[in-house]
Amino acid sequence: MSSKRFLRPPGARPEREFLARCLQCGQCAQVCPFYCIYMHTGFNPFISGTPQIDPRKAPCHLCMHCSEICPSNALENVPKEKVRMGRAELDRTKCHTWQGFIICRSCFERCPLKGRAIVLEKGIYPAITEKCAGCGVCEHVCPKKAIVTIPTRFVT
Amino acid sequence: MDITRREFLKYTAASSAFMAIGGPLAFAASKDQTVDHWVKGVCRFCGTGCGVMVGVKNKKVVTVKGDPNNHNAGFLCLKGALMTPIIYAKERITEPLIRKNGKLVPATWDEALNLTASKFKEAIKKYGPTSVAYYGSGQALTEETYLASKIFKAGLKCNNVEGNPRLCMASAVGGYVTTYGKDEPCGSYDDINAATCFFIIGSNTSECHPIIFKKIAARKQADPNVKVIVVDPRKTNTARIADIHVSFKPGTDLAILNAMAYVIIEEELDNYRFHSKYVNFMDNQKNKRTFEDYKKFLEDYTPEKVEKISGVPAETIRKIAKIFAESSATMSLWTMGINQRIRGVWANNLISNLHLLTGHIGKPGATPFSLTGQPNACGGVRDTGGLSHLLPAGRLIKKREHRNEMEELWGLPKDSLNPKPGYHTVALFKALGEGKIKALLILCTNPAQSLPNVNKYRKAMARKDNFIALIECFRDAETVKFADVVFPAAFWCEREGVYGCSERRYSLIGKAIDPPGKCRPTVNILVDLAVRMGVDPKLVPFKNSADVWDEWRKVARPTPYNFWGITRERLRKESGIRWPCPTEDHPGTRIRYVRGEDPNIPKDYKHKYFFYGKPDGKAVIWFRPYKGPAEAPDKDYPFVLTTGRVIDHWHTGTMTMKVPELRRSFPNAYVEINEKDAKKMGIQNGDRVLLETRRDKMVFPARVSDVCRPGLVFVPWFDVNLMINKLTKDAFDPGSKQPEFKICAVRIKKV
Amino acid sequence: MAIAGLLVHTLKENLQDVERQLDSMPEMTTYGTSEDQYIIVVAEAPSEEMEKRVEKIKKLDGVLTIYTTFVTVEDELEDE
Repeated sequence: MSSKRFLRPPGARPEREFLARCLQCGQCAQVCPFYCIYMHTGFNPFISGTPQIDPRKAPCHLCMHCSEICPSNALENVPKEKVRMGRAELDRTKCHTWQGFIICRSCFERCPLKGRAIVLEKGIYPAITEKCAGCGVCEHVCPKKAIVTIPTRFVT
Repeated sequence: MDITRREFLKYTAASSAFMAIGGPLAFAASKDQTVDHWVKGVCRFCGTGCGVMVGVKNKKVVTVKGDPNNHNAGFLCLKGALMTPIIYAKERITEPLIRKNGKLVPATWDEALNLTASKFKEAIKKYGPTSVAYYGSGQALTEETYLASKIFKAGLKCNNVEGNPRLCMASAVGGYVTTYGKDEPCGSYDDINAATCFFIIGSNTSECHPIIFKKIAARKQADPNVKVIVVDPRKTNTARIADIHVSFKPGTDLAILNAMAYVIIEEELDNYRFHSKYVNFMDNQKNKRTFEDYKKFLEDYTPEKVEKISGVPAETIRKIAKIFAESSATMSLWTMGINQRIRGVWANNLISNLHLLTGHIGKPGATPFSLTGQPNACGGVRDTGGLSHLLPAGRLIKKREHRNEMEELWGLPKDSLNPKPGYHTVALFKALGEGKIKALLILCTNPAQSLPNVNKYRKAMARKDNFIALIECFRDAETVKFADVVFPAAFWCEREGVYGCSERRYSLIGKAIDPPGKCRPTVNILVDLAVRMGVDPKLVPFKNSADVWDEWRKVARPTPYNFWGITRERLRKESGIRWPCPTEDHPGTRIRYVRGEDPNIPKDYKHKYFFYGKPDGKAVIWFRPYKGPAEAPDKDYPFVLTTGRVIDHWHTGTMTMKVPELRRSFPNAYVEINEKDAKKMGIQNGDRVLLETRRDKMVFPARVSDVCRPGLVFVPWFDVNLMINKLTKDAFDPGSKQPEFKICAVRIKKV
Repeated sequence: MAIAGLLVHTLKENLQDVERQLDSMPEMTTYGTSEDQYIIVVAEAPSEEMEKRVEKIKKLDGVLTIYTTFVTVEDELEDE
């Protein structure tokens, strides 16, 4: 399931350009302190060996070490506020807080762009803003699996 | 499920429309049909004391939901809703354990009880009754703490009865007692719905008391004129809904509070009629002074002078003081930021000062209100007298008439109780390290992680020549490592008992399921142990917690705590009742110290207010000077370290770390650093950062954000592997003996 | 059958009137109104009909706009 929905590391250029630049060297995966980047395996020679992130397993925490180290600039070194790996979508019909009786704030508290990418409407209800970098932390921590991070290449 | 797919889709469609207009949704559609029956209870976590319903199926707990009839109106936070996995955790201790050759091995109940009793008896025989001690908890049931306190104080004549509320509530007790003469807040949660200004200081309500925060947020939403002032050096989520967030240099809050009083008087916003009639002014030496003296005292705290101390612009202090005084009803809320300080009692006094000065007290919405951290610190430990200087229901060991009263109620000979207060928590563990305490019984708490400067006290607990017995549910609790005997206890809803939350509300936790293995309710363990220790069986004639409750009601009856009307039957029927409640038809008390509201005040009393804890019926405005923290940052240790909770974990994480959802969201402790500081030191999210205080050093992953102010770092204390309390300082308030967890100096380095 | 969640925004004075008319339409369920004059409606109709019905609501007096918040046509796909 998740094989198609993987995220590229933060700062990744648009998919076509990224694939053209990526040397498949694996340095980004080595430097990641959260062990969230892993290299794609499979028979497709274009994708195999490129770095990816599955937020359900381990999300990106926007430390930006990978984009600093990338030798071919396939990952562009941008400030973390400018990262757009994807966009988190919150399904309010699943969310504990929106559904009523359980006040949960895991996504808000854990967001690396705390208070910016996820805000609390009326001080209670989490909502995702345009500032979302798509790092997937909220998807990872959501106890109801109500958040899905959609990779940028699928966002039109 | 008895709804069809079509109905489900229609609900989904409707709910999506509801969401679009931004309202919460409370559909009854998802009513769980798969539960055999529901048992009423109280949440096991924070001091909010939310009512819960425990869903039981096939004699197993399958779900937990909010109790719609309790004050939380059916709402719960994530921790409370995910209680089930904790009950069935694989780490549960199900049989008694005895340490043999350094390893805990299973034993029978008789072996464990006899061994413990003999060690206690031996210690008392050889070294006298002060060589044994009890260390309890604000999470134990009211009945359990009352019973343990009685066994030690009346049975063993030993006043070394302490509990972890010393680490969290002692300063609030000190504050209430010195200002009003009696402990416990005068208001209740009802005030939240009537307040027009919230003054939140030293409390991250949003993360630590999510349901109370929800009430505040809802109140603010309902009335745009409601003002929220948050005074906190961290820009927490609580501060994000605030109209004014005041960030200040940690440890300078006493000066700010005095400056607010200065502004209130300067702007003539004080309620002269109120404070001239109901308030005494007193200086630090307990001399009676006048209002004029108070004005003179405050001249040292003009906003301009305090700006230099605290870093808060004078203009801001003026503004918040005006909002505080001018609102129609101001409610102050505070927790550990005020209590865990070397001048916690003073800070508590100063908050009450503002209320007494402006008359914002005893009216709906106008009250000082301290929040508790533990579910039963108020009802269980403060009220039952589970601390070393207290006797039940606000009586003091020091006072002879109080001792005599208790001797009569307990059927003891006159003047037989030990008149000397025992060790307070820090002193208790220090004495343990010095070999003065030979045998210690710990109930339902985890001091090996929760004490400040914990390395020192872990060494004390590790001494070979002392004996530690533990009543505990989970084998991975840190303190188990130091125990010589572990008794397996029935957990939360495996036995019946009463919790009392922040607002003087007693609610019953019903028994939903049987305890696993050989676990027994703590009340029975204590009674058994007491009898074997040689305590007169007539002192402990209890078969279950209901028996203890009836005695506790009797003991509290002659005092202002009087809750004679809160019978076991009523508790089973109703979802919590607030004391004082003198008769069975009394609905409970919303506001204390006010004629017509508080049943302790005669209906025909000549004044509206009566602070009956004080001899002349007047509350006290104290002249409390500014005092900084015990360990201020300096050249060598330039940062301030503060500790606290995160929303998804509770205390030492012994329980919450067992819930997969909660564990995933906060798997380990971290250090929170301000963006500006991080930039200077080249620290990014996830980088390893070394924190070093004068006591210990430790490496944490960094979280860079705008939450902490520059110069401040924050570390949560739930993580057993990264135990921040090894770094904190054990300086304590000379009045309340509560340690200063919240401030110590630290240096940080990227590694 | 398609099922759709709709928000119908009306003028203040027409709110009750519109709600009544909506209730009278076949396969139209209202779930209440909000203070700022939104009516929460769930419409059921074959998907080819749906647009027409929504158009019909739009033409009612006092209706300002209609927001669609949810549409499902799953059941139809399963039927096929």
